[in-house]
Amino acid sequence: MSVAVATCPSCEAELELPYLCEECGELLRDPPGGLNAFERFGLPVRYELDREELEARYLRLSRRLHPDRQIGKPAARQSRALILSSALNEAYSLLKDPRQRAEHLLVSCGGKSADQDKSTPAAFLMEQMELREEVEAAQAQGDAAALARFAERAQREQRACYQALGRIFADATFPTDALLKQAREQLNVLKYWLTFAAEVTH
Amino acid sequence: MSETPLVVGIDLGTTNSLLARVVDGSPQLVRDGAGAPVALPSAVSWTDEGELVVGRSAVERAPLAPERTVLSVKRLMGRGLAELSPAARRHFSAELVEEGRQLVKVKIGERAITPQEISSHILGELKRRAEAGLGQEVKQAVVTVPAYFDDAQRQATRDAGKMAGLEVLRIINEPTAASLAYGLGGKDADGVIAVYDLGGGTFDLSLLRVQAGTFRVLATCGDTHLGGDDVDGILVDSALALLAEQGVDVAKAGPRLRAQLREAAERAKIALTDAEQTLLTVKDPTQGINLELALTRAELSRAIDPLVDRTLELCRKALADAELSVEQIDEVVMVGGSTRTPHVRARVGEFFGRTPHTELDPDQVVALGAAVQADILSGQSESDVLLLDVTPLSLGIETFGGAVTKLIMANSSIPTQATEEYTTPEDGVTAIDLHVLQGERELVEDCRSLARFKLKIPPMPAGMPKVKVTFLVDADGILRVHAVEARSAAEAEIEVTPVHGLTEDEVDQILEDSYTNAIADVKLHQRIDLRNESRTVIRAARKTLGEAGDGLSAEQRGAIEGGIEALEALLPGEDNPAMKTALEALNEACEPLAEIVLDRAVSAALEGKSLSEVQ
Repeated sequence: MSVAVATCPSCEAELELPYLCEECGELLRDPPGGLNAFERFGLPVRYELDREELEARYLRLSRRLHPDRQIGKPAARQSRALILSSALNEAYSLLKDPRQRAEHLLVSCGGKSADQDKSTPAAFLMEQMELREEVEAAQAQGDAAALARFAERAQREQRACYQALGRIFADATFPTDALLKQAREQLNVLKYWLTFAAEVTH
Repeated sequence: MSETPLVVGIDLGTTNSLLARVVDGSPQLVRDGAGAPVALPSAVSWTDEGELVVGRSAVERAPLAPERTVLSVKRLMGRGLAELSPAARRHFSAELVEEGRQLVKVKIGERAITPQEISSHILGELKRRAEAGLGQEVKQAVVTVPAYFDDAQRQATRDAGKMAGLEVLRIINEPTAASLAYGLGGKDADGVIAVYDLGGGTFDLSLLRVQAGTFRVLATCGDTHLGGDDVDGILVDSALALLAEQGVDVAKAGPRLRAQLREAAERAKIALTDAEQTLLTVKDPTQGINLELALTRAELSRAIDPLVDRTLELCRKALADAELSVEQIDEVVMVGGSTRTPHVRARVGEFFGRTPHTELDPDQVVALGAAVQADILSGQSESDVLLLDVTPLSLGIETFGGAVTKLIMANSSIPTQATEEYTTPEDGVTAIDLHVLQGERELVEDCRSLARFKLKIPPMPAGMPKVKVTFLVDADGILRVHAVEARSAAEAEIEVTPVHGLTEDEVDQILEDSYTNAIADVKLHQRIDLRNESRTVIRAARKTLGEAGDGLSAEQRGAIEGGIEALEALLPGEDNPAMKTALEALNEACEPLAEIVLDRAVSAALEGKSLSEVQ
């Protein structure tokens, strides 16, 4: 069985990325259906990410795609570069932040986004409501030490969410419906703790 | 004449404008035909005969023909009349009017002239003098703008270039230009640069990462009402106090004395850059004024401290935004006339724990940096530096209930894009209003309105239309919005032509309020979302109850009706968690109802079909 290898229409070099020939610099169109942020960087579609590798690729691809590199080139190339360069920057901002990366991975795997399914684990909301009452009481009394403890708790819980997300996405069976649902729940829980952290630190 | 295409760098400043280019790898101000640097006050005046006067001679005409002279047109770029603060208006003695669109113009005689056109005269004069000196036509330029210039102000700057016969190849942020001027981005350089820009009236702090020949802006923040003028104000107040002691009726003194004092204060401040002490003197026998106020450097430092404290606070904020600690800053670059003051240098150096760069003239450094970028874009440069700039303010769109959904966050690298899908809350909607906003707050009324446009769509049931809105911000920081409804392929695209600009107060407010009101905003935004969702669920529950409620037990029906009642009672209130709980309870109560609807839909679909067809 042979695997079709995409080649550059202009220099026939093998293409590593579908939209750019890194050999001759030719800019091509995105494939029909588009690319997710991982594919745009030629990175594996997974949660675990080598930040330095992302940075290195981001700078290398920016040097190829940025509009500053297209001055004096034909208008068609300039406008294609603008589209590809903005898509690159969008993908970069999705990947570098772990929460956005998790959201993007979820949707890229065909799951509903955390916004579309706002469910949280059983009993979580009750706990949150009780906790909020405690926070309001601490705020009313101006109990700074208690508020600091709440802030620490929020940080701890956020780290726990990221660890849970890491485990879910690293599961060998991912993406099953059950794991996608768990990931969504963790993302929703994470959002709660982010808001919570903002409220107790202000 | 040389054949090489020439791209120059221009600092189109509030007070002064300069033009520079790179010669043999180093940036310098271009010399005019007489050998003088191409730099001039940003002043334009018209004689009674309608003849145009630009630069130094225009400044000299200001006291003679105030109503025909414009001194700081940059303050008007991309603005509406109503948005100019009284403080900003005071800079203009010529009449300001608003004609047609909400765009401020300057009335000179019978003509109303746009700020773009006035700026184009400054650019034109720079171009003409540079061409005389170079013996070569200047057609292309990189022009700098303050980091906090918004969409309208950037567009106005680009248009001014066009009117002057200059193609503006790129608009770059002033602090970014300053760091380019210092050549801190060599091939092997790797580090973080802080650019501290304290001018007469504004402060900006930008953090840039230099890595693998790339300049990347990590964060930028500032205050448009913070600068050396504030220090002058403090000195003027001390002088007025002394005059009052001498028995002068200060209240009656009027604007003339204030102007004289302000000028004297500025002179004293500059003298103290080198001297340990000086005299602030104003002598005007016609007003009975004979003032001599002794001033030491230490006293000046005390007057400056509150100002520096505020700038350092903003430095901390920028560091937090970029998730950096002060130890991670490798270089500090000083820009703006106010950074000449030794005390400012000392305190900034102390804050960052390193001596700031002050080798280049702080008034020239921006123009020199623009020349470096111009050289890179011309393709002639030895340097292979790539500049990755950011958009300073978030961009978003109005959603139901006056909330703003941000599509592009502040400090995103540009060019960039973002897409969001929307639908309609009601049946039969035939046009969707799109309202584009810029700012950091959560609510429409607190953000700056950039543009509104309508997307016409065929009528469909609520929730059916799929409206995809795409924002594209180009490398100059200018926004284009595209909207398409997927089912009907109805499309609308605009390059955002802003109806008006942010007032200075609003920009200030954006920065300040985004901090102080962050929490109240988040809660209010949540509440608006919760209310919208609740109303949708209640409407759907009632409708379905009418259609399929006969299949429910009395208990189930009671739970739904009770749930609706409980949720409705909470809607006008402000208790988000309670609203959320009630909404979830209602959703749960509706589950048996949803099952009945689904069962019936399946049976209806199966009716009349053979088993094999179903399988």
